[in-house]
Amino acid sequence: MSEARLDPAREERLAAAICHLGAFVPYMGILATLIIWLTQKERSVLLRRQALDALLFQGAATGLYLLASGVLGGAYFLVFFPTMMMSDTAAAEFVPVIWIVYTVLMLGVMLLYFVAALAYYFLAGRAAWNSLRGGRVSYPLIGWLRELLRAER
Amino acid sequence: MTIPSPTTSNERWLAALAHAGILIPTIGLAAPLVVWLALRQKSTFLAFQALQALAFQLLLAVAGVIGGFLSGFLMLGFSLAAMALGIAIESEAPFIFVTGGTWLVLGLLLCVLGLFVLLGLIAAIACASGANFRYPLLGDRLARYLTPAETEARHE
Repeated sequence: MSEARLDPAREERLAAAICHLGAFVPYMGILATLIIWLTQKERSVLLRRQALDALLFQGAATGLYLLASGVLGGAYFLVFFPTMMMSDTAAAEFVPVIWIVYTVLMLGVMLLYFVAALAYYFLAGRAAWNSLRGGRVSYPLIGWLRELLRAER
Repeated sequence: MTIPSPTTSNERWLAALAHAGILIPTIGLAAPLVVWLALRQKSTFLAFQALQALAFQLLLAVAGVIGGFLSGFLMLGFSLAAMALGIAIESEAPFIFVTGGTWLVLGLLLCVLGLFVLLGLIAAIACASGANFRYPLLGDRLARYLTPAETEARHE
């Protein structure tokens, strides 16, 4: 309909940045990245690599987050039920000690969550910025994961 | 720039749909994405407007994350300061101020969210009525980014 076109190379780079920025949208961002990767991987060499890297990064982060949350939930019950049963026995005096150790550990875990979240958003933002500028884009460990999964055929 | 204006009513309504996606948090990302993927070869206007809507929604997401971190830091800092001060002067007054400040920060964040959504709604209405809408600060930069050859030609 019109002869004016968006620059294809720039459009590709913007789409890659959109994939990387999907990390900032909880749960739905990874879906957007997946859709872009599935539909564009045959059309664009740049997106085949960058959308895949963004997908693996966001997928690994989401998976680790869910896993860690599950483990933490399990840890709570592993502490809760034994201490409840201990309260009627001779070991009752240890119950407060166990809960104090648990609380201190959980504060450490919260700090770890916080640092991990900062690193996650920083890496995603850096990748988006670099792909917009046309620079090299890489996430730590994701290249290794990509080779391991042989995801990029 | 030289991004064409809409010619058909389908173009106008689909662009409006893409912009209106911001009304539904996170799931609304799908609207401009689908419009861009399906119609970017058919209409340059739609390709640009859908990318602009996507970029705007992601800007909101990034602003939300940054605002969340900042307000978290602020609240933690003020709460600890109030705790120390409250113990030092043996009074509950600092806690009242911190509670008020917390509501103030939350209200501010909500206002920013409201502004983003309002701007998205304005964009949708503008596109539906046939304008080649640009978001302030974002739109022109994006247009220049996506049409580099024409920008260079203009400067020569």
